[in-house]
Amino acid sequence: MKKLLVIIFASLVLATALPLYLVYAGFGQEGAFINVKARLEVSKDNVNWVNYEAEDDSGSGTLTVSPGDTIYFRLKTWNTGTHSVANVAYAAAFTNQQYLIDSVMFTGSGGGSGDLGDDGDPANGYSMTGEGYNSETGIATFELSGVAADSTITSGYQSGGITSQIATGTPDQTIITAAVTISDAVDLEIGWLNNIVSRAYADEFGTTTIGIIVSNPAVANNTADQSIVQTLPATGPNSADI
Amino acid sequence: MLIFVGFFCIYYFYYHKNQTGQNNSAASTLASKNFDTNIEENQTQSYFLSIENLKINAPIVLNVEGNDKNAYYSALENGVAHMKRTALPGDAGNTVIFGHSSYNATNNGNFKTVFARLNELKVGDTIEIKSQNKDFVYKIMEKKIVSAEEISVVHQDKTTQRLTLMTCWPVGTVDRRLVVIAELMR
Repeated sequence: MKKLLVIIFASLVLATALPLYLVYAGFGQEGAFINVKARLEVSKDNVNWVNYEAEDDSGSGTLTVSPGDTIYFRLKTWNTGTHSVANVAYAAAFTNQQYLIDSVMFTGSGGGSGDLGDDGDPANGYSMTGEGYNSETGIATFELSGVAADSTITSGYQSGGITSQIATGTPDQTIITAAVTISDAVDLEIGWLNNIVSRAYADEFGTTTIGIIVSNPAVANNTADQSIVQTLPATGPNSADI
Repeated sequence: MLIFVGFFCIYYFYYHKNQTGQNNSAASTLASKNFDTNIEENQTQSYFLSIENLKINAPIVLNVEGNDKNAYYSALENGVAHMKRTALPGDAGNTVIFGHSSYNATNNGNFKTVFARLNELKVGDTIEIKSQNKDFVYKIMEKKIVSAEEISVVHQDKTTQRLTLMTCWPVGTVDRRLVVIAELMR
């Protein structure tokens, strides 16, 4: 009898969860409750922004830069769902990050941490935490305390940026990419059910990328010494034959 | 009905969790880069190194792999070696030519000491590379001794037309390298 009661209770809970799940698919899957989106862009002048891939309106653009150029990354994020969301976690991965120098995260471009919204609304009280950008690994992880419901890419969004510089000596045609993935979020209004309702973590729509091509003809004319020889040839007695 | 729905939820929850867990890595793309040396693999042109001050007149074996000991020892039996992936004589870049300063007496070849007196060259002296079509005259700009690891001496700067001669130093050892650097005059 007790076993039957437990099964019935569990079934009731799960039956409640099912309809919730159907409308709460998670990041970028058009869930009705929360639907957090992100768009990463890059610029040489902090004015004209280029995006390669995003859930909405992928630009398929690639920025061509030269060694010594200062470049700006900007990440915008917003939530088209009806519920406010908290603790939104992001992970960014850069390739060929050794050619990005003097990187400064979330200052001076794309809004900066003092105005995450970059929309005249001083951060909506939101704040950013996390590990920041690690120039050795090319990985950045950070978390926003909140993203407002019913926000869009032009209104109520949050944004932040990284200012960086292309290293001198970067080989010609080097491709640098950066991808940002939304890895977690908590629906404030569902509350404790966040731990019960399944969510589509970092689904295929939760990633946005940019691409940069470095143009450096001067280096293109040079052949790397390492590719010619590892050590200079031995032109004395051959010890193996002595 | 509720029991059925409950078990269905359990099944779907775990199935979906496993599926989404596989998508957490960010995309990354690395550019592959090739160094185009603009050097044809098969050269039919013949070149000779001529240094009048040292009475050297040796054929240049083209495109010899500097990382392959067997390959360059074999080439050095027939003359001096032009290092593969370096500029051809007269081309933009750095033409690297290396030869024996000494070698084992029992080994084959007529050029076992061709660069034994390379240290006698002075800044300002000339070196010639002769071919069927054209002769190239280089003027010595620098002479130095470096370690075997100093691979920067083979560096290709295509804004110049440079010749680098190289041999083991001191004679009878493979300890270091004597390097003579010259610039194309005509």
